[in-house]
Amino acid sequence: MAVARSILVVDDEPSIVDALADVLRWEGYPVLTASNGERALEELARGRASLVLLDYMMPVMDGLLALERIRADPAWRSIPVVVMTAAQLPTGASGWDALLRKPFEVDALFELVRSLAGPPPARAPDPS
Amino acid sequence: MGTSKGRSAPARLETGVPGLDEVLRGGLWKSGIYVVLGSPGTGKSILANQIAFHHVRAGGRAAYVTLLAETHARLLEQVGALSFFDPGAVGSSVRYLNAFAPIESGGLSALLDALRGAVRDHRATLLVLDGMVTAGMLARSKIDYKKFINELQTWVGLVGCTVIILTSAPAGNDNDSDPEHTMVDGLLELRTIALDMRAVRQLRVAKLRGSGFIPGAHHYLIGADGLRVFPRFEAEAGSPRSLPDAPGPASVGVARLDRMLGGGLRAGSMTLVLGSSGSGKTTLGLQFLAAGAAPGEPALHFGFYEQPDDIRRKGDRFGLDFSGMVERGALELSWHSPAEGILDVLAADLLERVRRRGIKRLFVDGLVGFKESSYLERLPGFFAALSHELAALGVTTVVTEETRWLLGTEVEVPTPGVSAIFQNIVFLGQMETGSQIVRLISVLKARDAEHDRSVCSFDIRKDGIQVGGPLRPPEDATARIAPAQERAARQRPRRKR
Repeated sequence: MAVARSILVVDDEPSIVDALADVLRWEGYPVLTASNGERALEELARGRASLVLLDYMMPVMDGLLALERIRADPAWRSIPVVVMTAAQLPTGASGWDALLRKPFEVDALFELVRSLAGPPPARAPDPS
Repeated sequence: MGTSKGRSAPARLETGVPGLDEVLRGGLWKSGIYVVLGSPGTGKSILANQIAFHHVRAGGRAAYVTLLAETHARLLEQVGALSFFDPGAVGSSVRYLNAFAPIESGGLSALLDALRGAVRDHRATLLVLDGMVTAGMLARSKIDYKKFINELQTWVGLVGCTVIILTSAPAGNDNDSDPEHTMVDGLLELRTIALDMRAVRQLRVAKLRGSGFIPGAHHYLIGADGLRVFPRFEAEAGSPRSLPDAPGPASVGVARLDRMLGGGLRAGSMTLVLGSSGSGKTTLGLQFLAAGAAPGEPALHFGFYEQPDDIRRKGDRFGLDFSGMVERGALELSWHSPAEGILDVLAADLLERVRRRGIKRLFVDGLVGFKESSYLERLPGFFAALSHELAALGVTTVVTEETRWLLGTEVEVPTPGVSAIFQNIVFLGQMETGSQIVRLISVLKARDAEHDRSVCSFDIRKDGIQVGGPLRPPEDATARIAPAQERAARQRPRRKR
C-alpha cells in the first residue's frame, strides 16, 4: 500500500510548527515537521514530503538557503515550496511556488495547500 | 514567481456591551487573546456570556469552556434571566463544555488539545475560558504556563478565533510578570471599590494591543440586560468640537433679571443660581424653563428632590402651565435619587434625554445630586466637560446650588473649583432687616456681557419671581456682595491631579 505523502512544516518557532501541524492534520493531511533548513533537507531525503511550508528566518540554515538546495537537487526540484515570512525577502530572492505573509489565517493556508498538494488523502476522490 | 497570500486587515470583534466598545475604541481584535480579571462577583461570567451571545447574534459561533468554575447548570441559571440570553442558541451556536478532566489528567498540553478540539468541532469563532486561575495553579511552572499561552495564541491567530480568558487571579506584586498579562493582546479588570459607604463597580482597560482605548476607570452597572459600561464622561466629552452659532439671548423668564444679565442668558451658556434653602432657586428655574418651552424650545427639568408631579403642580401654581407643556411634549420632568447615584450614569441619562428630545433649555436642580455621586475632585473637570457638551448641543443650562447660610449675604460657591466653569452666576439671598426678611438678588458674574452689578430686592408672588429696585443703605448688601462678585469673576477651577 502506498504511504500518503506528507506536508513538511519547517519553522524554528515551536508554537507555529505545532499550530500548523494541528490545523493541517485536522484538515486530513499527514504532516512532518522540522525546526530549520538543515533538518528539512534531512526529512526530504527520506522521500516522504509532497509539499514544503518553509519559514524564511531560521537558525542553522535559513529558508532561502534550504530552498536553493531543494531547487538544485533533481530529486526535489519538483516539490512545491511555500515560503512563509513576516519579513521582507531580499531583492532577487526567488524559487518558491507561493509566498505566505505572516500572520496568515487558516483559509489562506488551506487554499494554497490544496492548490499545490491537492486534497487531503482521506478526502481524495476515488479513482474508480 | 508563485502567488502571494496573507491575512487581510485585522478586524474588530464588537463586544456588544453598551459603552465597552466605546472604551475599547471599536471592540476587541479578532483572533486575539483577552484576559478579564476580577474578583468573584464582579460579573466576569456575565460579561463573557453577553459577548458570546452578541457574537452569535452577529453570525459567529461560541464555545464556553469552564475549568473549576461554577457548574453549567448554575451558570445558565444565572445568565438565563438576562435579556441577552437566547435559550435556542445554547447547544447549537453557543456550546458549554468542561475541560477540567483533561487538564487534571494531562496538564496544560491536554487542555490545549481540548480547547483546539472544542473550537474545531464546534467551528467556534469565539472561545471563552472560564476559571483560568485553575490552569495557573495546575501548571508545573511559569514557563509551562507561558508556553501554553504562546501555543494557544499562535493557534487561535491561525484559525481566526478570538479568546476571552476569565480569571480571578488576585492582583499581587508578581502580577506584572504574569504570562496572562504580558503575553495576551488585552487585559480588562473588573473591580468593586468603596465610594464612601457605597460599593461601586469599575472597569479598567490595562492593555489593548494595536489600539487606543479610553484609559482609567469607568463605572459599570449590572442589570437585567447584563453589563453596561459608562465611559468616564470627562475623558471623552471634553474633546474639541465646533459650537453651533448662538441664537439671540435666552430669557430667564424674569424681565428685570434679563436686564440685569445684560439682555438674558447667552444661548448655550451654563448659569449657576446660588442661594440658601427657600431662597427661590427652583422657582427661578421653573420660570426659565417655561420662558423657553412655552414658545416651543424643548425643555428638561433634571431634579433630585422634588418629584415630577410636585414640580408640575408647582409650575401650574405659578401660572406657567407646566401640565400643558408636559402634555404637548415641550417639557420633560425627570427625577433622580440623590442617594447612590453615579456621576457618569447621571451624565449619560442627562445627555440621552437632551439628544432624544432636542432639548434647548435645561434646568438642573441641583448641583448636589452630582456632588453626592462622585469624589469632589472630579467635579470641576466633569462640569467643564458637561458644559462643553451641552454648549455643543446648543443647550442653555441653569444649575442651582445651595449655600450654607439661610440668612445673610456671605457668598461662597460650596463646590470648590466649579464657579469658573459657569458663564453666569446669580445669587439669591435672604437678609434680616429689623423684623423682616428681605429677599435680594444679584448677578455676580455674566461672562461677555455688560451686566448690572446692583443688588436688588425681589419677591416670590403667585406668578413667580418679581424683581424690585436696587437696595439702599442701611440694608444695602452691596458692600458685602461686591467682593463676592469680584471673587466669582476671578475664580478658576483647581487643576486636576
